[in-house]
Amino acid sequence: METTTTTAARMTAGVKIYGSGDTEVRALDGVDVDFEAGRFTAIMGPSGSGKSTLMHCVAGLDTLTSGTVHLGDTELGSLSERDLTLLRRDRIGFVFQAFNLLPTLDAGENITLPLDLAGQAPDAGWLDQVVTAVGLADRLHHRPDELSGGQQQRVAVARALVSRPSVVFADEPTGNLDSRTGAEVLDFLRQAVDDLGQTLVVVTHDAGAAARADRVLFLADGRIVDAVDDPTADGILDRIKDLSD
Amino acid sequence: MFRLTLRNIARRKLRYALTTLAVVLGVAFLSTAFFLTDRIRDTFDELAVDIAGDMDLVVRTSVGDADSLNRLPVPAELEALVADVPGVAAVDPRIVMWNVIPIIPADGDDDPRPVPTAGAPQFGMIYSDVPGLSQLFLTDGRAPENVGPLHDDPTLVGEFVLDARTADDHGFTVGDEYTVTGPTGNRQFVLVGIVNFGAPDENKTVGASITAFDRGTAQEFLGMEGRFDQIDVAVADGADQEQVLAEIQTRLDAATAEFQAMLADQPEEIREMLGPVADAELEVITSATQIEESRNDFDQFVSIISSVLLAFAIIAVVVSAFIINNTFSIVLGQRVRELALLRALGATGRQVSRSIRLEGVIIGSVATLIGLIGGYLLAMLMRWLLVANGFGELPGDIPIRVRTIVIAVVVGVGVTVASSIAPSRRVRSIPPVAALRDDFRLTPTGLRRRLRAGGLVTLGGIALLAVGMSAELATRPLLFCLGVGALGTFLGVYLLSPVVARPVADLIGRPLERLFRIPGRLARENARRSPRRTAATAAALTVGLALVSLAAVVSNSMKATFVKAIEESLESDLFVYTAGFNPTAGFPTEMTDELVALTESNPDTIASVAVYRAGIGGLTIDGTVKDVFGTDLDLIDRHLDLDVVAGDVATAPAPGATETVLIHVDPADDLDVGVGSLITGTFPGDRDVVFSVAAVIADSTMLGNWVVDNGTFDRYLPKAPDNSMSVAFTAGADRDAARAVVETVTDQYPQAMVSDGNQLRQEMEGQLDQLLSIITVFLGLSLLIAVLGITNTLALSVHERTRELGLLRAVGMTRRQLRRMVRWEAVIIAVFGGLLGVGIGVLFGLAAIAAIPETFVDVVSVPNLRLLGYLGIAALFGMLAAVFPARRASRLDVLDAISHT
Repeated sequence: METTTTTAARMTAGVKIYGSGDTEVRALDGVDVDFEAGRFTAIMGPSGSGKSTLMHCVAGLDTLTSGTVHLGDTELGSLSERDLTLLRRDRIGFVFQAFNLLPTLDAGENITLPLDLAGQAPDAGWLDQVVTAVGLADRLHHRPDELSGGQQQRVAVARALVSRPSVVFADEPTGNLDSRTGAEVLDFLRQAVDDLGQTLVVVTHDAGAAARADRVLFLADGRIVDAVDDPTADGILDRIKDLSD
Repeated sequence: MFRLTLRNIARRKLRYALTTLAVVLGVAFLSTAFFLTDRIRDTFDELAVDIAGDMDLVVRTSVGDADSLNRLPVPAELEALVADVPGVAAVDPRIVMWNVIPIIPADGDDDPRPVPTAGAPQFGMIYSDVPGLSQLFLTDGRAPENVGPLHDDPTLVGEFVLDARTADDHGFTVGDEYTVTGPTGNRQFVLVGIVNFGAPDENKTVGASITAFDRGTAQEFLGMEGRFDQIDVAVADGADQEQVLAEIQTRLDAATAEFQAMLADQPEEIREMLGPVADAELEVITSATQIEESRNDFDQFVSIISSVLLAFAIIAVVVSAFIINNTFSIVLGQRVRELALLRALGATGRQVSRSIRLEGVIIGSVATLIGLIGGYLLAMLMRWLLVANGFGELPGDIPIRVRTIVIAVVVGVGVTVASSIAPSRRVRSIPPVAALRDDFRLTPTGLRRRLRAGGLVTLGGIALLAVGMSAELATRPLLFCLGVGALGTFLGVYLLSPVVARPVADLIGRPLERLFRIPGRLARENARRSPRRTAATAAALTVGLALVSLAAVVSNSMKATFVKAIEESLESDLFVYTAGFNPTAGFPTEMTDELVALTESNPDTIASVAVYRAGIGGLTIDGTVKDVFGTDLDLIDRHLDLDVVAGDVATAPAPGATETVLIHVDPADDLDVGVGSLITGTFPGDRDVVFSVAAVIADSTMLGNWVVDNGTFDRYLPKAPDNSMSVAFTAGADRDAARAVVETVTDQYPQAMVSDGNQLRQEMEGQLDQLLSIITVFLGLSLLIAVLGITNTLALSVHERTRELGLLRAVGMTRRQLRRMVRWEAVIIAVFGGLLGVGIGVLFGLAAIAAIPETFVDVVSVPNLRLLGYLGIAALFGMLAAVFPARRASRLDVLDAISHT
């Protein structure tokens, strides 16, 4: 496909330092990475490797100490706090590990939340398509506490997709789910990439989840130490073993 | 456990700071009330002693049970008689005349105006320098001297001295000539000296103004020729005070007997003229009695201030109690897991519960301490405000009484601990396993039970109110019905309010959702998600708004009643009165004479002038002191419609009676008297008088329940000045021309205000409005505490919803939208509290109106616009309350917030 050749997001010479002096931690230590449009990229690495920081910085939730992040043509470092917020609202979708939904809104309202915040009416056809894709058409008027964990994550996925963002970021989206439900959610994410042409970046611990990606990046000590295209679960596990040796 | 409790408090500084602040404010207002009234009371107590000086005895007439305002003077001859008594070292005759006002001269565009005092009296006195007895001390210039009889030559310029504060405040300069208006008229005087009152180095007038003249001028100008108000006596060193007192009393009695014997030989005319004076009983009292009397007089006034301050402080404490209780509930709800962890580690339910109460004790103690300090500072500020507003000096330290501290501690610590009891009980039910679970909630009483209990209490309260409103009850059971009914209704509504919180929040939130989309919608959802919290938070605001609305409904109805009464009773064309409608105010007799003379000189325009005099506490009937008013009964028909039910106002006294009286139907019914009945009353000086009832009246708006002729006043209450006048124009006279004629007289007396019925009505409405504004501001201050409560709840809610806020920010809610969401939640809570408050206030107001005698209120008038305004103010206060929590919420770090546990 043509879209595979364009870059949806890019980090160049990304450095993120927390604290200072003795307590200084280099969470990202010179990271260069491209996330290609229309592809599913997984980021793996041990705890403290910087994978969440990498995602947060690219997604405009956090800022780099040095280096640049581009989302499309937009350089994030030059954006004000407000512009970053609007960028997240209009051009980025999020799925978190847990607590993805507002308990006071029903599923439908949670899905359209980013659009409502922007004061935009949802594109009815697209909304239908997304809702149908995640299989929630009959649950739209349920509140989150009336939905199962898997259903809640699917609502979160639908919300992430509804504003047609440039990139959807998911942080351990299956971390709180049993394996069967987790697989279901991953199916939907995969489907979004394949059928809807969505760009997807997923941070995960789970080799099974990473295996569904088009490409897996391995992080250790704030650097990208490896990348594997069209991975398999076994291949990933081997690689992790190599890295931890 | 104790150390753990301390740690808990130290770690959650913000939450506790807010709780503490509520207690601090309550305690601060309470202690201010005590601090300030102690200072005021002390000032007056000191003043009472200072006035007495070295004086040992006082000779004067007895006033009986009546108000000392009405005390009769003593004959001047007594001075020599008393001075002659063995053991008397010195005598100093005194005159204390009210309504002696120096006039501030015209200055540029400003007309001449009377020296204003904030309601304090304006005295004229004799200047004397008897050591130890005189109360006036020259600080500048010299003593005033007699320049000759002012009577014989009105152009003669006399001399006077003025108290230092009045001179300072209004730029009176020694050597300049001023007009002083007194009971006889206006005269010109040169200011020859400045005096301090009460002490040589301090002017203790407490807001009053004092002018003084030499003895002869004072007696003449103050209308006291041949008389003094009292004679102060200093007893010689070594003399037995008791003995001297007894001797003086013996001589007084002898003199009275001699005078009456002498009078018996006089012709009827002279007997009649002097009779009342001769009746007055003379007495001699000790300075201790005098000091005690002054204190009691002052105390009436101090008690009013103290009650107002205390009432306000109690409201503040009640509002604070709501806030503290609510905060404890919320904070404990948020700490369930932590408390469960304690249980899991082996703490007993009792220990956990005790640690919560201990927190209450510590917070209460700290807050009380801060509150006391704050109260002391606030008292200093209030003193400064009072002094700056012409209340007079309140020098000296503000006294710290043990009583103040004990009450502050009992209330401050008590309220806090009491608020922590219910939540601390609930905490016992936390199972250890809750430490591991996310979803354990402390469940207070179920809404259904609450609905039942609240419903019952509300119905009971309303039933009692209804009984109070409709049944004819005596005062005590009536007050009981209304008081308990009001309390019941309020508690019931408080219990019920969580049940209605949801629908009402929905209703208020709907337009917000329309307007502000998602922030509005979320604000609405947040306000309704924990109805108990919303209701408890709103309750603090409800208390304040209920009181303000109650005041508004009652005062508005009073105003309407008053306006109607004035319109109905006013027949005359012009009113002449002093600003403030002060019943102790009085005009110079010359002004009255000049006005009355207009009926002779301008019969084409001025038909008649009726004069009104007030004898506050001047008449005793059946052992009860009454206010009595005097007027010209033969003219009154043309001036006031007293709504005569029976009889004729201008009837001559019936056989057996010497005076006539008009009596209002209510006391007439109480006493079971009618037209022609004889009533015995007692005037000051122990003088019994038999009245015959000339007429029974139904309108007491202008002249009260007991009305007599001015002739009766001349004979029995001669010290009561002409308080106000009304003028009736001749039929067909040009109104403007007639008014101009009246003003040729009144213009010379700058203290005189001239109004027609319309202006008078506006003036009185203005006065009532002003009173309402003061009450509203006072009650409104309790709303500020309520604002604190909303802030507190919102801050805690924001903390509780940190993850939600993080999520919202992550998916693109701007800070502005977030602030808006918090702000509108506050507005919903505030308007909810406002609706309840205004509703309750109107209900209570209607109950109060039904209970208040019809003389004061018989028109029900609900000020809808004003009440709507109160709701607007409630909404505004909500926004104000949200400023801090909204800012805090919008400043949350997105990543921290999302991962917050």
